[in-house]
Amino acid sequence: MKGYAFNVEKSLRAWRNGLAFNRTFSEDDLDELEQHLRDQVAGLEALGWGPEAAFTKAVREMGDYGTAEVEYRKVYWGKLQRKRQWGPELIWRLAMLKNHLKVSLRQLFRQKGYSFINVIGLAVGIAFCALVFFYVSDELQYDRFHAHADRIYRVNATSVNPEGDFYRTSIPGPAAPLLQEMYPEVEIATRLIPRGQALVRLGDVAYQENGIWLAEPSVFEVFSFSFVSGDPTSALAEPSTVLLTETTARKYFGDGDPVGGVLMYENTVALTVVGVVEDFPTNSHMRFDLLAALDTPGMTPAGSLEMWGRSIATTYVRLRDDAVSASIEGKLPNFVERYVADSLDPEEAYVLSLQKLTDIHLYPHVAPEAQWAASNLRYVYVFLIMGLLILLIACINYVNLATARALKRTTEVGIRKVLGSSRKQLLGQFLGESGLLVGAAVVLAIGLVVVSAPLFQELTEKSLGWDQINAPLTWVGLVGVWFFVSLAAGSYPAFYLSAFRPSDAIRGRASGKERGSSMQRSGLVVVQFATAVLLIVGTLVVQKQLDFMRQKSLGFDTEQILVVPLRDPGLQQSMDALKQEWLAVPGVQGVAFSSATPNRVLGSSTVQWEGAQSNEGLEMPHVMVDYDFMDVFNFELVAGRGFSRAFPTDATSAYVLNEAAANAIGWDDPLGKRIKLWGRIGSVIGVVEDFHFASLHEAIGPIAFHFGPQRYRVASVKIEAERMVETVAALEAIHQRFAPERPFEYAFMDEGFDGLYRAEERIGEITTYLTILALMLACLGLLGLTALVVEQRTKELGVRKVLGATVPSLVVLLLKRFVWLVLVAIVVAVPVAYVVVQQWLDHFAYRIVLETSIFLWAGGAILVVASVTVSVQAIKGALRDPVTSLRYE
Amino acid sequence: MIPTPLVAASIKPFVLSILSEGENYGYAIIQRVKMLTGGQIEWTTSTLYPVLHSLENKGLLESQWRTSPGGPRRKYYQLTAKGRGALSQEKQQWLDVHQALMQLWQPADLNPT
Repeated sequence: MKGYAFNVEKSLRAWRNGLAFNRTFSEDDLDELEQHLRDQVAGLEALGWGPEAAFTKAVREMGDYGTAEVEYRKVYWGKLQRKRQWGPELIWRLAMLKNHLKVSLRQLFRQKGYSFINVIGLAVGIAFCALVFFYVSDELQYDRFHAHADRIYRVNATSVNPEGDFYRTSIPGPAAPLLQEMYPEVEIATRLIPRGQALVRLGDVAYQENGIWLAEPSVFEVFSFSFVSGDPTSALAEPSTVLLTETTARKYFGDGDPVGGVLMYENTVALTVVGVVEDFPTNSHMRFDLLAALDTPGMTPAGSLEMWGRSIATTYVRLRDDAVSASIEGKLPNFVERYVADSLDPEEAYVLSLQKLTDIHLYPHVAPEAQWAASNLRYVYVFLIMGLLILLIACINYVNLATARALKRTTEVGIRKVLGSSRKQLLGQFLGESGLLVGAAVVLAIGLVVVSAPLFQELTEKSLGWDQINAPLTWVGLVGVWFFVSLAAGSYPAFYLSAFRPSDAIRGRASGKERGSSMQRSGLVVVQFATAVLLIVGTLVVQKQLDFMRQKSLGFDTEQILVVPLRDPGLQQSMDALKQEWLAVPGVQGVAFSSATPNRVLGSSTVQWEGAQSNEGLEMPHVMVDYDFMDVFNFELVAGRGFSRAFPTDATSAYVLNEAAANAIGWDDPLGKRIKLWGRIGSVIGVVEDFHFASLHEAIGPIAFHFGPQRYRVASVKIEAERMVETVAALEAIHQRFAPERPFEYAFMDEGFDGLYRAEERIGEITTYLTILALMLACLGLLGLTALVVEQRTKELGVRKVLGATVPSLVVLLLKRFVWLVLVAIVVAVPVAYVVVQQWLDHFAYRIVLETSIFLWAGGAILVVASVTVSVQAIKGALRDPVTSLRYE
Repeated sequence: MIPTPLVAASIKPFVLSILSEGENYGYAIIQRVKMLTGGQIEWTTSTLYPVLHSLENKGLLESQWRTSPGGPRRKYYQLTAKGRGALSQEKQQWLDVHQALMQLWQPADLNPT
C-alpha cells in the first residue's frame, strides 16, 4: 500500500495503548510483555520472517486479550499486597465508587419518572402485604397472651336429638368442680357466666353496660390478668364483689381509687369494687368490662348454678402439661352418663367436647362439622394468599421494569468494561443501585404502614400500634424482601450486560435475549390485569349481595320502627299504662311488646304436638308477643287469625306458627291443632307467612308466636316519618316518668340488621380497597412498560412520522399490542372469577343471580383504564419531533 | 498433543526447575520448555507470566530488572530459599507418582521405538 510503511515502534506503541487502559496491567507488566514481544519478533526475524509478518504473528501468539485479562486479574491483588500498594488501589476504588454513585443518582434523576413509579409500586405492594400479615398474625394469635394458653380448653356441649344438633358453649354449673375433682389431668376448672346488658350505677352516673361477667377466683389461675390495684389472691372470693377494667374504672371513678366503692347492678344488687385489672388486648375472644363474683346473690336465678338441667356456665379448664385433650374427651361420655343423663330427654344424646382456647376465635359457635365453612380462619387464609399475591406481583413488576431500564444502559456498561471494570465490579454496581432503590421502597413502605395504621384499625377493629409493627418478624420479613428483590433486580441486568463484548455494547447492539424477556413482560401484564379483573368482579358481587340482603323484603316492616328495651322491672309492671300513654302521642301509629324483635330471635325450645310420638319434638325458636305485635310489624297471615282481645283464651292457650313450622310438623291444615311448648298446651289459631328472622345465610326455619306478658323485654313503636324528633322526645318524656332511673335508649329497627352481616360488610370494604390497589399497581406496571416500549421504538416512530403517519395512527399502532394483552387477561380471568364468586355466593340461602353485566362492567372498566394509561405514553411518543427521535444515534 | 491438565500441572515444576539452573526471563523460559518437550508444550504469555507473578507473590521467586545491552529493560526471576524448598517438594511429589506408574508399566513401554 502506498503511503504506509511498517514501523515496529509505532505498532508496539499502539499495541501497548490497547492494554494500558486496563488497571490490571501495571507499567511493569506492560514492560515485561513488550520485551517479550520484541524477543519474539527478533526470534522470528532470525528465522527469516519479514518485520510486519513477524510482528503480526508474535502478537497473535500472545493469546487473546480476554484470557490475559482474566489470568492477570487473578494475581492482581497478590501483587498489590507484595508491593504494599494497596493504598492507592483502594483510593482508586473509592473514587470509582463515588463515580458509580454519582452516575447512579444522575441516572435516577434523569429517569426520575420510571424510578419513581417503580419504587412507589414496590413500596405500596410491600406495605399492603405487611398490613395483611399484621391482620393475619393478629387473627391467629387470639388469646395467646394468656400464660397457659396452650393448655386451656373450653368445654362445649352438643345436644343430639332426632330433629337436629344443638351446639352450646356453656354447660351445667356443677360440672366444673366435678371435672376438676374427678380427673387429675384437669388441673383447674373455672366458670364464667355472661350477664348480658344491665344498668350499672354509681350515684348519679349510670351506664348501660354490655360486658358484665360473673367469675370465680379460679379464673385467675386459668387466664392471665394484670392487676392494677387490688389483691389477686382474694379477689372475687367474697360474694357481691366486683373487679373493673381500667377503662370502666375511669368511666365511673375518674382518676380516683375505685377500690371500696359500691356500684349498683340493676338498682338491686350492690357490688363492692375490690380491684382494677388492665383491659384485655383486642385479640381476645372474651371482652368484659366488669367481673363480679360468681356467687353474688341476685345476679343469677337462685339455685341455677347447681342445676344439671340448665347450661348456664361457660366452663374453661386448664389441663396438665402431659394430658392429651383426646384422652380427657374419651372419659367425658362416662361423665355425662353419670351426672347429666338424668336431666336429659331419653331420646337426647349429650356430648361434651373440648375446644382449644386459641381456636375459639377462629371457629364460631356452630357445630364442628359446619365450622370450617363459616369460620374466620377461612377468611384469614384468603387474605393471606391475597397479600402474598400482591407482594409477588409488585416484586415481579419491579424486577421486570428495573431490568428493562437497565438494558438501556449498554453504552455505559461497554465503556466501563473498556476502562477496566471486571464483571464482578459491574455486578456490584448494579446490585448496589438496585439495593439502594429497593431500600428506598422498603423505607417508604414502613412509612406507608404507619400512616395507614389508623385506617387499618378502623377497618379491621384491631389495634396496630408501633409495638405490633416493631415485631422481630416484621424486620426479618422486610430485610428478606429487600435482599431478594435487590438481588433479582440487580443481578439479571448485571449478568446479562456483563456478558456483552464492549464493542457491541457501545454500539448498542442488543442480542436475541431481548425477545425472550419481552415475552416475560407481556406475561406479567396479563397476570396483573387478570388479577384486577378478578378483584373488580369480586367487589361488584359482594356489594350487590350486601345491597340485596339489606333490601330484601323480609316479610315484615322494618321502617320507622323504634325499638326500646324494657329492662326496668318498674316498666314491666306498668306496661299497659305505658302503652296507652305512648299511643296517645301524635305521630305514634302502633305500640307492641314482645320478648324480642323479629330479627333478634334467640334460643329455642322443644315443641310437641298432638299426634306426635311421645318423644318426638321439634326444636324451634319462639317469640312472646302481645295483641298488637303482628299489626305493628305487618305480618302476612296465610291462615287463621292473629291474637285478639275478643278471644280471652288467646292469652293463655293460643299459638301462631309460620309456614315452615307447619310444614316441619307435617300439617296441611294446622288450624285448631294442639301444640305443647314449655309444658303449656294450646291450639294453633293462625299461620303466618314465612319471614326472615335469621340471617340470609340460612333458609327459613320454623318459629312460633304466643302470649307471655311476663317475658316482654322490648317495645316496638311505629312512628310517622314527619316530626320524628318531636315524637321521640315525647316518648322519652313518658318513659322518664315510668322509669326515672333508666336512661331512654332506642334504636331504629332497620339499623339493627347491620350486625348480622358485619363480616360481609368488612369483606366488602376490604375488597374495595384491594381492588383499587391492584388496579393501581397494574396501571403502574403498564405505564412503565409502555414508556419503555415507546422509548425503544423511538426511531421507528420517527421514521413513520417522516413518512407521513398521523399522530392518531401512531397511537393506535402502540395501543394495539397492549389492548390485545388486556383482552387476553380478561378472557382468562372471567371464568376463574365466575367460579370463585359463585362458590362464595353458595353460602347464602338467599342470593343474587350472577348476571353477565357484572363481568361486562369489570372487563370494560379494565379496558378503559388500560387504554388511557397506554395512550398517555403513546401520545407523548407519537408527538415527539422526528428530528430528535432520529438523532438518537 | 499433551492435554491441558498435564500442561497445567507441570507449569510449576518446570518453572522452578529451570530457574534452579540460574536466573532467567519469561521468553527464554518458554523457548526452553518448547525445546525440552519437542514443541509439544508451548506456553502463551497468559499462561506463564501470571504464574511467575503468582510465585513471586508467594515468595518463591524474586525478580530484578536488568537493562540489557541494546534497549529496554528485561525482568529476570530467580529462586529464593523458599523456592528451593518448594522445588524439592515438587520433585518428590512428581517422582512418587512417576515411580508408582513405572511399577505398572513394562520396561518395554519406556522406549516405544
